[in-house]
Amino acid sequence: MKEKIKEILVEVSEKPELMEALQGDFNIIEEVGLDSLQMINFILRVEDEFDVEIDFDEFDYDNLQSVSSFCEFLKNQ
Amino acid sequence: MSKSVIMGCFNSEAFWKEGHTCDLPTLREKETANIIETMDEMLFVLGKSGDFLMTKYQMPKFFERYLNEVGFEFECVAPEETAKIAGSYLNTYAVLPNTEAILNQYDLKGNFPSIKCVRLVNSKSYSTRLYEKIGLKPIGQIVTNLDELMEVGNQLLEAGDFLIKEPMGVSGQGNLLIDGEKTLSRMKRYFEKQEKKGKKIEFILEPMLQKKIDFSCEFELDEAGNVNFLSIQKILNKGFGYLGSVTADADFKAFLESKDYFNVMLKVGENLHEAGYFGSVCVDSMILEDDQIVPIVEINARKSMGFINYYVAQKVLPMGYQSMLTFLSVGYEGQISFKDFFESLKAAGLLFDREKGYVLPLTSHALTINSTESKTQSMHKGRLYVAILYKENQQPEVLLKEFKDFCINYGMKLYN
Repeated sequence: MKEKIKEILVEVSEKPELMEALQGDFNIIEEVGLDSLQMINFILRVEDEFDVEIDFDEFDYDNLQSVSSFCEFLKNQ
Repeated sequence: MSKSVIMGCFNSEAFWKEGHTCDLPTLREKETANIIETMDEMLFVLGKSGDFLMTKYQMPKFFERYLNEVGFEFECVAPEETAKIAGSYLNTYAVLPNTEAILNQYDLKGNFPSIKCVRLVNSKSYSTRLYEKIGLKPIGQIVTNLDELMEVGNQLLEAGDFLIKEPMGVSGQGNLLIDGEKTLSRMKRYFEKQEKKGKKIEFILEPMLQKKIDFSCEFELDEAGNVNFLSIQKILNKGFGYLGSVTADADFKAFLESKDYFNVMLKVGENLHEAGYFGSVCVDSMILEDDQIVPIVEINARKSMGFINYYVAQKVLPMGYQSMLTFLSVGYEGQISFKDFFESLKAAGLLFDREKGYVLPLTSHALTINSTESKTQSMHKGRLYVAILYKENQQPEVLLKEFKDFCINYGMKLYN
């Protein structure tokens, strides 16, 4: 799951160098720095990939503090 | 000469929205919102001798002195200095619902179009309808209910990806690329939820065109309807996000002239005048891969980043420089001082001082606001709005790369 999320982040941010740079339990906000539109595209791609639906209006940015916390959040959807 | 007080707010669209139409999804992020609140600092570029600048966060004195020294004429005033500015003219970034109240509050002069008119002409629905009115084939279609959205959306998908645009979308938001039926259906469900809360559907759907160059045309429209062209700016974008502006050269303008572009802009001016608008206008346009011009991507009946770069360029041109406006989106740990950063930039010989250097910082608080607000040692977002000033024999991209390296060595993480 973490690897897939990494792939989506690389695709949405258009930064191939992140594939190498993102290691361990990386922080999605701090390490990737997606802008607002990229963030929406990221969520939409994640929804598509993991067949979940995320509530945009209620989404808490703290879920992106680490890739593990985001995976945990997805498992609870 | 009459003095002006310059003030403004860079998220005008948020004030123009009336809240009765459905929104595209957004994720509310406090740090970016904080940064946008600090962008009014860069309106100093509009200043003429004796003008005042009033910003949400007071510009540091040393930064004001530096900008004065390199040739920008303005004096910062605090909101409580009412006696000093009374009787001046208001020079604003955009006409907002509170513009009239600001005039009264500070006893300022100024004649502005009605907010109703400003809302109308800034809407993408207005610019879409304008295409037909001036005899051009529209690229977008307005949809006003979910069935229409799905019908037009599915038709567009047969040819390729398309964009859903909000009538009052801001740069980097308010657009969404639809790349398949699944995303379209997802959006339908999202809008259905908002409809249940009483919101109406109003979007513009446009095929995703293969663009080569984004550019903008800046002009002033006076009350009599005369158009005074100021500049053409090439827009640097990353995806749908704004990255910078650079003044177009004479060849590019000649190409636009050959394609009858400026006549279309005159017609835009004529229609805006008819609608009751006067003031600053920035029309975003683009050139497609096949050299076809799309003259109206959107109409911004306000000032814009293109205007900012135009005013910087006007100031530095007599010194032999051209200007590329851009920004770095950065992350840093803990607290940061703009004064320290500024001094390091100076020590490295990068800070523009009329004789040497090429980085002209345009804002201070955009870098520091999030560390100031939170005081925590965690990572914060900031932005460095700068003009890269270059001479004819210099490549601005090379200078920008050097500036980016400087920021990385300073300990910043670069996001754009």
